[in-house]
Amino acid sequence: MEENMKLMNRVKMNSSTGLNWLRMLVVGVMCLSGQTLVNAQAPEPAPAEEEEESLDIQTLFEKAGGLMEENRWEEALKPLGVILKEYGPSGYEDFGPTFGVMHYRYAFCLKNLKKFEEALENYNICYTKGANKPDTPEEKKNPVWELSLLEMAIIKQALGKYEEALADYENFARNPAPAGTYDDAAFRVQVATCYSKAGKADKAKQLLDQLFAGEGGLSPRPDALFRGFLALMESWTSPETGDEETEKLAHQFIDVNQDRMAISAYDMARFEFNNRLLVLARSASENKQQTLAVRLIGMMSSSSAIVEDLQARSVRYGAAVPELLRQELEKYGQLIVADDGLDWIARLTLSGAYERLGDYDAAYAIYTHGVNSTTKESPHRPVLLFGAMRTAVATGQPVTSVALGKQFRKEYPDHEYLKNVNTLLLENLFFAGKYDEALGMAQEVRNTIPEEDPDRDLTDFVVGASLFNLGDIEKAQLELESHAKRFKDSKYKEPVRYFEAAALQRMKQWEKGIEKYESFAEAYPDSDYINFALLDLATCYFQMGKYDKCLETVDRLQQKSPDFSELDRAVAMRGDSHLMLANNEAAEEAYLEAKAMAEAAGDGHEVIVGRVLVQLVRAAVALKAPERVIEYYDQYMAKYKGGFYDAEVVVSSLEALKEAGRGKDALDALQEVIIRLGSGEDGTGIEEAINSYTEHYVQIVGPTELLEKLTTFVPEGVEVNNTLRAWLSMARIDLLSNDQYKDQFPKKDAQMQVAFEELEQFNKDELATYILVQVGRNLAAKDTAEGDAAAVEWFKAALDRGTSDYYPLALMGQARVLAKTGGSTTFNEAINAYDQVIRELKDRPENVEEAMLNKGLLYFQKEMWDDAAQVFLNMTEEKGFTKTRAQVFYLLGRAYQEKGNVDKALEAFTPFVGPPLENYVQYSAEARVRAAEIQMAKGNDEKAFLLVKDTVSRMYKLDKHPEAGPWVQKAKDHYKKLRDQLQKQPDPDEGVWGVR
Amino acid sequence: MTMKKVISKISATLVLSALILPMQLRAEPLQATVSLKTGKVTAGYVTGAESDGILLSVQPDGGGAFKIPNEQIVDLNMEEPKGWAAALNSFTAGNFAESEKQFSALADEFDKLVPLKDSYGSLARLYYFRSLKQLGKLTELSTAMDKQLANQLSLGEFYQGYYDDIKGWSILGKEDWLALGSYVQSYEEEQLGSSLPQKPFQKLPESRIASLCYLRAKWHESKGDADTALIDYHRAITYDLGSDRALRAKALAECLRIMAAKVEKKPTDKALRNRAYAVAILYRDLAGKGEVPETYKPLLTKPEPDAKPAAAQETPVEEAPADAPKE
Repeated sequence: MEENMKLMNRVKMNSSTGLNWLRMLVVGVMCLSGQTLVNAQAPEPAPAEEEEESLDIQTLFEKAGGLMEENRWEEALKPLGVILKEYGPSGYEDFGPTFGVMHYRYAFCLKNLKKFEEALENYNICYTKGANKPDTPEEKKNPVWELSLLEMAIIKQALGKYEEALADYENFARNPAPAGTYDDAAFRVQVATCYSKAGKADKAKQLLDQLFAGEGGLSPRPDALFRGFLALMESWTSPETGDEETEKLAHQFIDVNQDRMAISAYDMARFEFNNRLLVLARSASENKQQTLAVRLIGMMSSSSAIVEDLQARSVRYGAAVPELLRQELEKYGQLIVADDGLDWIARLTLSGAYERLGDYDAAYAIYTHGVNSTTKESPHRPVLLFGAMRTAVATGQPVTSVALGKQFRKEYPDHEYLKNVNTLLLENLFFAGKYDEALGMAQEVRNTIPEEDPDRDLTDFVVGASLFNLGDIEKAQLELESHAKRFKDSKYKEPVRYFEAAALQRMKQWEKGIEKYESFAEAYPDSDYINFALLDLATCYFQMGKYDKCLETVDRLQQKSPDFSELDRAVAMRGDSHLMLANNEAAEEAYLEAKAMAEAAGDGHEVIVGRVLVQLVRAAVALKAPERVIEYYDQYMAKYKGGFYDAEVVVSSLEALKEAGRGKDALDALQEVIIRLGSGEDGTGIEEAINSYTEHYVQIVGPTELLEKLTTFVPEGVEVNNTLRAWLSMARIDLLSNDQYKDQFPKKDAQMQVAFEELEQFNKDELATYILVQVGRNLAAKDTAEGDAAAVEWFKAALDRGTSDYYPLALMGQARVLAKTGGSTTFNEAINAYDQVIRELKDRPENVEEAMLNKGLLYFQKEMWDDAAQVFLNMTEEKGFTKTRAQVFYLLGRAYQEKGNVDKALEAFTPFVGPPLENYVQYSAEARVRAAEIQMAKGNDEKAFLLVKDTVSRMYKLDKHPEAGPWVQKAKDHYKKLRDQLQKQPDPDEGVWGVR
Repeated sequence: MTMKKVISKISATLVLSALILPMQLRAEPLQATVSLKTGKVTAGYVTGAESDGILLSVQPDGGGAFKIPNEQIVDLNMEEPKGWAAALNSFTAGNFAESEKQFSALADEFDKLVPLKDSYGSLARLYYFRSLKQLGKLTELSTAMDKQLANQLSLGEFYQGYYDDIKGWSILGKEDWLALGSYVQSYEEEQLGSSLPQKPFQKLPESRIASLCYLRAKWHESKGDADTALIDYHRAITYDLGSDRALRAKALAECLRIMAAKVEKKPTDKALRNRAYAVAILYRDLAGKGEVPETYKPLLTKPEPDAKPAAAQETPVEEAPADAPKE
């Protein structure tokens, strides 16, 4: 017993020594779970003891202590196991609660060996069997009784048994270990963490608030506070509890406490806080807590910041920087430039959070930082390039986005993102208006994809829509039509259908356009394109002459989108429709509304105001309201002069201005417009303006003054183009050739010739078709070989321009000249020229009549009687050819007669026996005589006599007529001869007829 | 020669033939040990510094100080002044109002040490300047830095970086846009073949680049280029992971102002309003302690999501006006 007591005293002594051990053990336990409850204290070494027998409890205890000090847990279990085996059964009876120290140590070793369940069991024995009672003598008290409960709680927490752990923590808090045996602040952080893990963030926060506020005199270290904060954040960013409200709480908590947990950049890395913050930020971001994610990343320290921190530390050492510090500097220095370090993961997490939040500018800033600073070998570079490209679009930088897309394609031609990059790049190019590039790339990309592949959706859309925007409308229409058929569920279906309709409209296929636009409007009533579609639809209806439908569509558009930026155009079209329907008052009203809208719209709508004012002048003219004509004219000239409509507005207003005594002013204004038009590169509008100018100048001032004015029209020193100069010459010719003023220009032929010669000097390309033809005709009229040759060139130049108002004149002019020049080659050309007229000018019968006649004459002159007869016979079948009917029948008869077909000839001459052809004496006298001669030749003298007698009796006065005279005389001769031959009674009027 | 801020007891009697000088420092002289090229270690009290040496006294009151030329000194260990650690803690914790006061006092106290490289005199003044910068007292910073020109700080490479940074802020304080432009451009780096419209900055600590981005944004704004400024303000927010809270708050405020102005010009632009919304809530949560200025509160309302495909957002190519009808 004495021995036992002695032993116990020694044990007691050692157990009190072991208190320090226990402190250390607790530290160790806490460290195991990642938390520090007490400040690190150097353990006091166990006193050197003499070697005891192996079963001596003291010896065993000390041996175990030594091994534990050296972290030799497995070995330490052995002596402790012997103690528990040998003394355990009656240990608590023999030594009282103090024996709990043995179980505590045993559990501690087990815990370090990660045998948590066994450890828990032994801590529990320590806590239950080794419980201190109120009457437990001081020397028998278990010094680690309360701490064993804390240890159990820590293990339970590590095992995820949060509720059980919390119960133990709460019990411990109610009956804590003596002060100084554990770190109270760290304990609270640990409990807060457990609350947080158990989903009781409010309790965790409450505890941490107390800690941060320093309640109870506690002053935890910043890193301990940071640990608590991280634990709290784990809860607030978890999918179960993380929401907008907890995000708000988190921000509030950080706002209040961030300064208290300020830790140096290096410590942030050293304590692994950066890693934990990154994990939390990612959870927050996935949990839609984007601002919290941004904030958590912002609490991290970058490698750059760590290096700054370490440099600041090293500066303090001067030249003697410790080796460890140097190594750390080097390590983090390398991380700064590393392409795949934690920094880049953090930056990408940050950019992701910003993008999810919608702050694309911030994400763009991060991605472009990466584009600038990573190498091609970086695993993150493709993400960075693509991210920069994507966010450049979202921040309104399509050009930059396109450049980045191209860079991506160049750097990573086989990357898995390439498809996405191509898609985005194509969309960017197209929507940035770079249609050439978009088209080129889309064609390149689609060449590698089968036609029916879904990936052709975008490329084919871009091809079609780009072609449309590049003005290749027909190809665009085909592409878009094909796209619409193949990709019925396309993402681009809506724009494809709009562009397809627009293409048809551009191709002036108004009816098809209407069909497509109506269908589009029905399918996509809320489309962003709907306003343009309705405007275009109204245009189609207008162009089809369906003015009522046009008006309906404009009403629909205005009702649907009263703020549509182009509504002024639509309302102006309403005015146009009313004008076409002669609803002039309604037209004026609509134009005034359109004008007000366009003026309010400001920049870019001036052209609408100008055009509307022109239409208002027209409407006012139609309404016979000269005051308003002048009002609109004045408005136009005050603000919109210098535009496309100048000439038109002045011309339309001239009458009203003339009436108001402002005709001369208007003419001056028109002269100014004409000179301006003549200063441009082309001569658009000059012809109409000059015509109007000359027409009104003659009326207001007079023809001789006009002739003078046309000579000095362009002020000295002003350069004008040849188009205007030519038109001024032409205007002089037109004036001089006007019979109305022939008496006022006695030398007009010479003056005209001078003007024509001026025109002949111009390059034909610079002259209007009208002028080309007039010059040609003038040359042909000279009737010289040179003139004819030159005339053909001028006519050809006009004909080469295709159909125009002056095309028939040119064609006829050319044929006439060719017809008269002779020679077999020219003969054929002339026949061809006439055939061309007959073929191409069917809608101008007067030209066809002339051409056929001339063609027949050509054959006639060449004695090609069959061909000539065929042409003339064809002409006789055209009832409309009345102008040349007599000549045609005459020539037809002649051709038949020459060919020897006297019956047909007789048939052709017969119409001259009666009206109306008998009145064409230049043909009828000869025709009648020739018919009579044919009858005579056939032996029908009676018939011949009757015919010549009728001819003589009707035409006896025409014996002096240049064409008919000789044939009348011949008729008289035949009359006398046949009368005598047939012994007819002389007619009583023979004296009158001059045949007696 | 470098200075170590490590306390060391005076361990040897000074046996130097240096000139005895009157006491220079207003404050209590700092204890120091000086290792000389001769191998001797000299202990004493630093009373002041000149460009070519330090003034050392063997007496605690600084009496009888003598000059040790820089070229004779291998190492210098100097006692940390009272209040230094507290001031540094204030600065590190972001309590710049406090650090401004503390470093201002320390800078005045150790003004005589300014000629000594990285001395407490120069560093105190530097931290005072940095505190002013963080507080946004830029006019005050400009004035203080101008005043310091008469007694220029002596800094090693590391601290010179901070000084270079606040020089930019001092220029901003004067609103000398031309000088600010020159300043930021001097840090830009040419990058051939870049797809990006803006030049990157040279390789510097990220905190410096964040600062330069803010300054460049200000310069762009002075030229009326709000769009480029907006990007640079965002760079200031995101560089160095956005860890400079004061800078982040300042830059976010600028972003908010610019976005609000943009939205005012285009109130129906949903994409723009979404971007403005993002900036507004970032400001609220990261800079405004849950609030945004009254003027910008409407930006906190998120626009309705737009279901339209991206392709349909664009305005189609406009056709020429309908032809004028013929009467």
